[in-house]
Amino acid sequence: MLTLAASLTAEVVPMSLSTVVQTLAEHSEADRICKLLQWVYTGRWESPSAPLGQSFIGQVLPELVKRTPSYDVLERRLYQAAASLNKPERYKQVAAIILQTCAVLYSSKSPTPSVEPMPREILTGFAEDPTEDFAQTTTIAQRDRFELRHRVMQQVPPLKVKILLFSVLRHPFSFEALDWKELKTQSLDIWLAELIQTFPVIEVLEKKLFTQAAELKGLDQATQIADAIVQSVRLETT
Amino acid sequence: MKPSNPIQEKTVISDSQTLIQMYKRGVRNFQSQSLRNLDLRGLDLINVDFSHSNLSGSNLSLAYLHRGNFRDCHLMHAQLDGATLNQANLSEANLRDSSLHGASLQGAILFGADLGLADLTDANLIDADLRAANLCSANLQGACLRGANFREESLVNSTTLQGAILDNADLRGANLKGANLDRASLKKANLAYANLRGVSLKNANLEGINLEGAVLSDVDASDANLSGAHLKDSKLERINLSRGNLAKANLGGASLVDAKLSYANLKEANLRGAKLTRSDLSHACLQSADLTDSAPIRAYLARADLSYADLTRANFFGAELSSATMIRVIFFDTTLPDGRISSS
Repeated sequence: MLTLAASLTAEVVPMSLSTVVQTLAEHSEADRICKLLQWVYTGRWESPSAPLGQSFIGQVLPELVKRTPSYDVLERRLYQAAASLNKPERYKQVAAIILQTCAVLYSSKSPTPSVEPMPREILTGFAEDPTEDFAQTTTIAQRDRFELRHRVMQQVPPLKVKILLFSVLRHPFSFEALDWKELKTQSLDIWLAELIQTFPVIEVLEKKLFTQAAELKGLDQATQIADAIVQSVRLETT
Repeated sequence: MKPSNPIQEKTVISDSQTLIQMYKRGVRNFQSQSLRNLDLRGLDLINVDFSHSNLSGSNLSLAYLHRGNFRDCHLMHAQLDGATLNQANLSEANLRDSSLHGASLQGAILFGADLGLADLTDANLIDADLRAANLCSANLQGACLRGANFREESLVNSTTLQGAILDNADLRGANLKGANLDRASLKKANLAYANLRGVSLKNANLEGINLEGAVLSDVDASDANLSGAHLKDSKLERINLSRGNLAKANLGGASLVDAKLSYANLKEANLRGAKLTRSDLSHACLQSADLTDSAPIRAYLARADLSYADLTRANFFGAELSSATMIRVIFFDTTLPDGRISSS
């Protein structure tokens, strides 16, 4: 356990924060630091083409520290997030780097307030490093949401598409009242947009859909539905 | 020899299991049966004939009902969420207050069907026949209606969509001629190249709608909200947009010949290259509107507010501009009502 530096109030002192941000941005593992911070903060994994850097750390880190004002909680979150990735040992080292650098921002005298829950994706172990699993990746180019919806709808009933998307983006659909309610309050358009935003790389999206389709109980032709979505997205990208 | 009909002669269908067993044995004809409140969820009932039957309150969610015959069938309050009804015949069926959320009705015949208050959110109605259908207060949010036919047969039989919700719906290329869409909501819907000739859109909400290339001749859209609408190259001859809200709408290249736009709000609207011959823009607000290359020939602009508008190369020959407000208007090669060119 690292010892904490001189005390601070519950409010982060900007000077220390900017130093912390700069230190992390200039570190040799800066790229992985950004990815892990993003993963902890939003539950989303950034593709390599996304702009990450000092400005990104400067935006995310203060917010993350605000949400986890206790060092212990930050430590737990970072290590839990690292453990959910494909290369946990490597990312545990990255977590240690972040913690060592951020230690100066925490005070042993600060009470531990209630914290915001971690993104569901980390809790359910819903994690991958998409760019490290595939030799070649294709980023989805979204052009016309009407066109995408039209293509998908023509092949499979829209409600079944929503059930599969729910299962990929939330949890396996239970067919209980609460899940039906959540499913129906969001339109197919929004579900498709969320899918693409969460998995902007086609290869990862394809894997997620087919894996969930194979495991999902109670939905006929789930694999066909997954295929319809993937093919429609591919056509949008070509 | 006339084939026997075992249903009418002997069998009373009182529960789902009986029906399922009969279907498995090859029976398809279930005409004129009382089949209320049955649980038929997820079943394969392709080519089934339920015409003239009463299926009110039944649950057919996620069922396979391709090419089924539901003509004159009672399906009030029925659950058909996610059901597959492609090419099904639902003509004159009563689907009032039924739930068809995310159902697939591609190519289905809904001629004269009653879908009042029905939930058709995210439904697939591509190429569906909706002539003379009643869609009053139906919810079609996010539905896809490309190629759907609403075409008017007669005044009595025009499709009614009064108060319907079609936000985000896809009606690209649809034929809605003569339909009644008073008070309907079509926010951000896509009606590019659709035919809306003679449609009634009074008090409708068309905010952000895409009507690029659409035909809206002789439409009554008085008091409608078209703020931010895309009407590029659309045909709006003789349209009534009195008191309409067209703030920031894109009307570039649109034909508004003989249109009624009195008291309309066209603030910051894009009217580049628009044809406004003989249009009535009396009392209209055209503040900061872009009328570059437009042709308001013989247009009536009494008491219109053109403050800060861009009138570059606009042609106002014969127009009535005498009582219009013209604060800091941009004149450049602008043709004035008397034919002179002004660049002041």
